[in-house]
Amino acid sequence: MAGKSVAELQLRDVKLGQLPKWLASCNFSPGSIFKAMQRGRNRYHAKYVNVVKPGVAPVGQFIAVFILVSYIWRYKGEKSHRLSKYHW
Amino acid sequence: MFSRVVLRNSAALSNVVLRTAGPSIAAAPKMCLLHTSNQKSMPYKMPEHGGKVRLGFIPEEWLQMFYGKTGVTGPYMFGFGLVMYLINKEIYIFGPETVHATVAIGLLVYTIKKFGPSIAAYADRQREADLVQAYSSKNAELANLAEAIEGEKKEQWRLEGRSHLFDAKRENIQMQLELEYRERLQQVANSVKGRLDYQVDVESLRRRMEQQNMVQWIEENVLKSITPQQETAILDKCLTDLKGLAKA
Repeated sequence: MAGKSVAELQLRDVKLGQLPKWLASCNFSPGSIFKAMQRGRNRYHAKYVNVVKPGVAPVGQFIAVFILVSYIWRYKGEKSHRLSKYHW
Repeated sequence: MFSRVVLRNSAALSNVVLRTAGPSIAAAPKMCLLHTSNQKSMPYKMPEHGGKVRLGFIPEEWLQMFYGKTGVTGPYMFGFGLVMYLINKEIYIFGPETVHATVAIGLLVYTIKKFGPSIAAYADRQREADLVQAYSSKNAELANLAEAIEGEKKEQWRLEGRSHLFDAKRENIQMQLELEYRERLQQVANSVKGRLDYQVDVESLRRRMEQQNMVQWIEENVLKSITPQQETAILDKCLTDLKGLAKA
């Protein structure tokens, strides 16, 4: 019965035409944003961290995200170290 | 007793009530959080393993999305293509940071692959030890209670045997009475026999004394009655008899 109205669908099930309607039905107050972040964190933890035998996933993912975000922050300064100015 | 406890604290002790009504304690698992037969009210149980990841950080679900359309090599081709695009367009720039990243990531992978399993085994052992310690008091209590139940059952069985005990004691006493009675009978018989023996002895003594007296008196009188001429006549006869015998 979930998803009888657009507001109750999850984002992965929302079709492209329904997207504005779905966004309009969202609650963007700080409290609900915080709760949404908490839900995301809990989902991640339930899947990878709060298990009997966690694997390398939290460590590897943290390192990957660290590398990615630090490179994005450095990109502006690294652009001047390019080997060639024009690329195909 | 348990109903009173339940009435005092309402829902929290429903598990205790269920426990007393449930299956036998000896068959319950040893490391169970709650001994309740109502499985729906059990708290959240942690899954055994987390979500799978490929290469240490890519979740398997993302790769599954490729498999339907492109087959098994799809995600690797995508990754390769993405990496080549970034390098060719110099969105990713090779520099000293690249060397640093290569060395760091190489070391990290080597360390994790080499020492990961042993550290994981150590952590598992610690967890098991903690669990055992946490459940030890509860299991000890359960064992105590089971022992108490066994003791109670034994006491009940003993109680049933009490009537047999009294029967045995009664028989014992009766046997003792019988023994005493027979002993006293024997005593009576012995004493009666003693008295009769006494009478017999007295009688035999009297007869012996009479006999002795009579014999002695007879001998005396006979010896007295032998006159001297009779004595010589007897002696002569004896001599002639002897002579006659010597001749023959």
